[in-house]
Amino acid sequence: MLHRRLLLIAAAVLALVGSASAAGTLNYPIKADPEHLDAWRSTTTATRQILVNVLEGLTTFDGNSGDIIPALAESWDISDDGLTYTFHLRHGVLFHAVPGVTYADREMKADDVLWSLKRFLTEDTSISEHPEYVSAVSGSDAVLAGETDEWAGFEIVDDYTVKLTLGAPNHRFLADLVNAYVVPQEALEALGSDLSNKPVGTGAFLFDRWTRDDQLVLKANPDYWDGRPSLDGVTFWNVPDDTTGLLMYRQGDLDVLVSFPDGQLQSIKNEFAADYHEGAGLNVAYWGFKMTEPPFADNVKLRQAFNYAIDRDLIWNVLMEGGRVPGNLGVLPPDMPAANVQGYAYDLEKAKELLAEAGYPNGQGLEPITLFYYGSSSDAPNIAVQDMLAQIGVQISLQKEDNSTYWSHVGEPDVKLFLSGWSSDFLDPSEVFDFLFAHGRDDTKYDVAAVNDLLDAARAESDPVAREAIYLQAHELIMADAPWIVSGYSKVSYLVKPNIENFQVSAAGTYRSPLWTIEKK
Amino acid sequence: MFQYVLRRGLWAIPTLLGVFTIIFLLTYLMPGDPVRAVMGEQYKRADPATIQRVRDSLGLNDPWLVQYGRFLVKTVSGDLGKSFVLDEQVTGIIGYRFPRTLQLMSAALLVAILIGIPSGILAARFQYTWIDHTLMLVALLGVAMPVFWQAVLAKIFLTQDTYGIALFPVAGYGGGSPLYLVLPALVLGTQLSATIARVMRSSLLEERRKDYSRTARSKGLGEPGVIFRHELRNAMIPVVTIIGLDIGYLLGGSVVTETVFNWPGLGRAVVTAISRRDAPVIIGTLVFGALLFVAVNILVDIFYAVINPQIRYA
Amino acid sequence: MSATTSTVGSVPRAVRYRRLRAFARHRLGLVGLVIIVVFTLIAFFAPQIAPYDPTTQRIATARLVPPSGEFWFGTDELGRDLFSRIVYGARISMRIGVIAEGIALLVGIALGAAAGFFGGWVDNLVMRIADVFFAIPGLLFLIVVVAIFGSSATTIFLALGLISWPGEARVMRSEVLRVREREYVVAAKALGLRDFGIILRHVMPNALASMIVIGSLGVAGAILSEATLSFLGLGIQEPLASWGTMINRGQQYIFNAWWYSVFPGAVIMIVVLGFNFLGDAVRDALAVEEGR
Repeated sequence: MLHRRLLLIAAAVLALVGSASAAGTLNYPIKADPEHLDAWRSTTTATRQILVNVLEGLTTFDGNSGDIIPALAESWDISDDGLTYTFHLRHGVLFHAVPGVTYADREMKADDVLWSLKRFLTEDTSISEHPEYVSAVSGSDAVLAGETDEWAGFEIVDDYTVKLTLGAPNHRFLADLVNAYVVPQEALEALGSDLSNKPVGTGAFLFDRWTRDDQLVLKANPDYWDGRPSLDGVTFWNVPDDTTGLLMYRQGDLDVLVSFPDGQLQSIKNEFAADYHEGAGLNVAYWGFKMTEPPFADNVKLRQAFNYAIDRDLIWNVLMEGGRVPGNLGVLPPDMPAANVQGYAYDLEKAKELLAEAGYPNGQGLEPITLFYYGSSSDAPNIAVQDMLAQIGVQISLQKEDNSTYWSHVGEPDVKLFLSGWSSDFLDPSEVFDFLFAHGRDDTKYDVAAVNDLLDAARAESDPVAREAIYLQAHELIMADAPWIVSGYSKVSYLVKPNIENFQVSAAGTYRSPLWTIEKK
Repeated sequence: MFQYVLRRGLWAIPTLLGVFTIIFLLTYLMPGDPVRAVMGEQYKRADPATIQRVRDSLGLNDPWLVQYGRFLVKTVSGDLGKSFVLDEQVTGIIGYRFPRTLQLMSAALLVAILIGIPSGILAARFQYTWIDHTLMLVALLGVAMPVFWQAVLAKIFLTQDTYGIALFPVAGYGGGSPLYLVLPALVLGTQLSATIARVMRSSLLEERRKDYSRTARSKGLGEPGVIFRHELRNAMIPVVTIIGLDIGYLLGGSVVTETVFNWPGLGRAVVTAISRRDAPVIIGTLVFGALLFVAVNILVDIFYAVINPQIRYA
Repeated sequence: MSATTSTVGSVPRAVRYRRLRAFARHRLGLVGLVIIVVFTLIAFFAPQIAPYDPTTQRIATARLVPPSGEFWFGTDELGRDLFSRIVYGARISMRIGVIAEGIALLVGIALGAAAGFFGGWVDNLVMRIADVFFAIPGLLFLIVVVAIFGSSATTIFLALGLISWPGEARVMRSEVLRVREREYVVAAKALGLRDFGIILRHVMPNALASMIVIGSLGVAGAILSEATLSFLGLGIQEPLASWGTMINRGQQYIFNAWWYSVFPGAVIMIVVLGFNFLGDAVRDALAVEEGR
């Protein structure tokens, strides 16, 4: 009897709690709690995913196209030599009205931009982790070294105009400014080190409260320059486990779901047919060969044999139920310029032939190889690869390591075959090539003179058509060398409740998707 | 009495020193580059000078003896350092996560006691009847069922309308709403309640065979009277011991329960810390766990000494 | 008492017989013994029992197939036969459980016996070391050790053994103390037997039953601990799997493939119950001597 009454009370309280969650609040899952919310030290996607809603830089990315669009700067002029950037600031932008911070002048003006951007220029990682965002501006080295407080390349023309002069042309500069947030100096003076956990800026949402590992709550900024957001606020729920996320979404605790448990996309699509959306992403997953160590060094046929032995369609379309687009093209996400090259389609016979030509007929003479993969990745594709390579006679043993051990181990010579992945920030081949195929920077240690030269040439080329042609040439060289087994290209897939409008996830991921245009009916 | 407490407290010092040493050894041997943990995804984009700078700032270039000495001195003085990853002192992290774990543990303990002790008493009172057999079988099943498996099943059948009844929220802390506490506490407490029931039963049975309770019963005192007025007092001693010992179990079980139910306590913090190789948080939590265990044991010993003064001189 | 016990083997035959009878009467104890024997046989004869190779994949043809005549317990997401995997999993889970507890017993018996017999500073030292290991939070210790040294079966049973011996040592020590006080040891000492022999001859047979109790409960605990580690993603390496790993991976598929986690979950429960039944039965049989 007592038991039943308890249940009734519990049900009543549950109903209360259910109705208490404000109608205009978006309930949004995050996989990891942010490390902090510091404007000058934002590095991880966990931190940026929150900050993108609270803070703004001069420029920002368009959530859909990935193009650079105006944010705090209304417009900008670039001189013909590519060295001088004149930014025209938006008028009437007010800093967040938050308890404990009083402003002499609440409007965001040129001196606020100078102060915020200059704070990036320090060697002290407890203040800034990203001097590189603004260090293209001339005179930065002297500030960085602490020799002077005068930032030569930064000129305040008037309250709403700043002129930045670069030391050399830099086609990434506008993109780097996206995360160079403008923060009021008064907030740092009033809050001190608390500002790292209570961000103050100009964004569409105000920081409200943060229960660590539980909830992070943002409120609508009534004074936002583009009008108060339709949502009353956003509650970020910390949900590390995808199955739990699905349970919460099903019960209506979450309004959207942006990552799913492994290999059951089909049943999720069936259950939530109307809520499911997907688009192309910017991440490429691959299994890399160590190009400097035997057996893969100087044996392109062996690498190609491995490539032909992997049935990417079976892995991604059947085993993982469409979790990614099978990696049957090159090393770039398919939507990028220069992405369209010939890939390695599954061909068992060809794989066996090449293996024999590589000097290991039926795998004879080839030492067993360890395939390394990391803790947060799915086991299944790697286990499938083990089996697929066994079909051509190659013996693979699997070694799973937790994420941080893995990423510091994977560059070592003893790791000869490994799972990795790379997320580009925007649709430019340099986002992949410069980090993974130039001068041995990737864990594959891929370092080929011809490719390096092409990539250098592309970087100096300002004509987009000519650049794409050079990149295509480099891409084809890379594919012929086969330093990777391309696994698959990410999809951005998510569930969103029917009463939520205008929700979209950027191809680069959720940390590029501000939430302020969303409406909840 | 004061002398006994003091002596008992002093005994704890070498134990804790041993614990600290083992903990230091473990974390010192931990592979993986903490710098990578600190820098996250930017590691690949960073230049070697930046990496070296971060390494120096973490004190990772000192010889192990220096690191060990520093660790001991700091730990004893209550300074557990700063997290590699989070922008917080470890004591701060423990400071606000442990109360939530304590909340969960206390609720679980309450569940365990409320279920375990009455079940044990009933089973003993009606020994060899169907009541006894049923209760003990359930208790055995409870002991044999992995906590995480109970948690997963509970989560599916008690939070989803599609598969059961949505009596409780799926997971989370709900900003402190007690409703969110119920299911994790039930799951964590169930297994312990099985242990308590078994110990309660056998310990009460033992008392029931002793002369004093036979005498009491022969005097015509009713069963409840004998049990509650005479036997229970002595029979509780092993139960209290088990509860004391099971603080360690609760701490371990809370790791699993917190992980399954997204409870933002210390257990989940340490699992996250391990996956991030956040050594200060791992060390701090282990140190804190050991302190807690030792403290609870001292309390249990003092409790014995209070109910049985002879122990003090043993 | 002194007359009967001066013979080798310290437990009087009558008591031993009564204990055996009490054990046999304990139906659950017999059930437990049968469970343990059956699963031990399964572990030993896995290749003969399993209908398929546990690592053969059928992604295209038999992914997540429900239990049927062909696949008794269904298949997993890679199309591997779950019945065969559970049969082979017995090798891993049972081995980890038994070896871990074996280590704990060996270390515990040796140190506990030494502490109990020699007393004095030996006793003090051993018990202080035991205190240290008692005070370390067990599961956290396991997680950290596995994170450091990798999740091989060897690491797991070594770590489990290392963390669980103090309980065994305490029981052994108290057994030794109990027996040491008895007359017959005093008598044996007078006969000039060497110390070691005394321990072996008189204490061991008596302590054996206690060790069976604590040992069988310990195996059950070790199997559960290994399963918990696997659940937290720190289990042993694919393509082989312990039961815990299967539950962990299977619980993701609980909505579209209930069999994936339910069968290994049930098997763990049965085996753990088996060891618990055995432990309880031996304990009850022991109690016979004390006339409980």
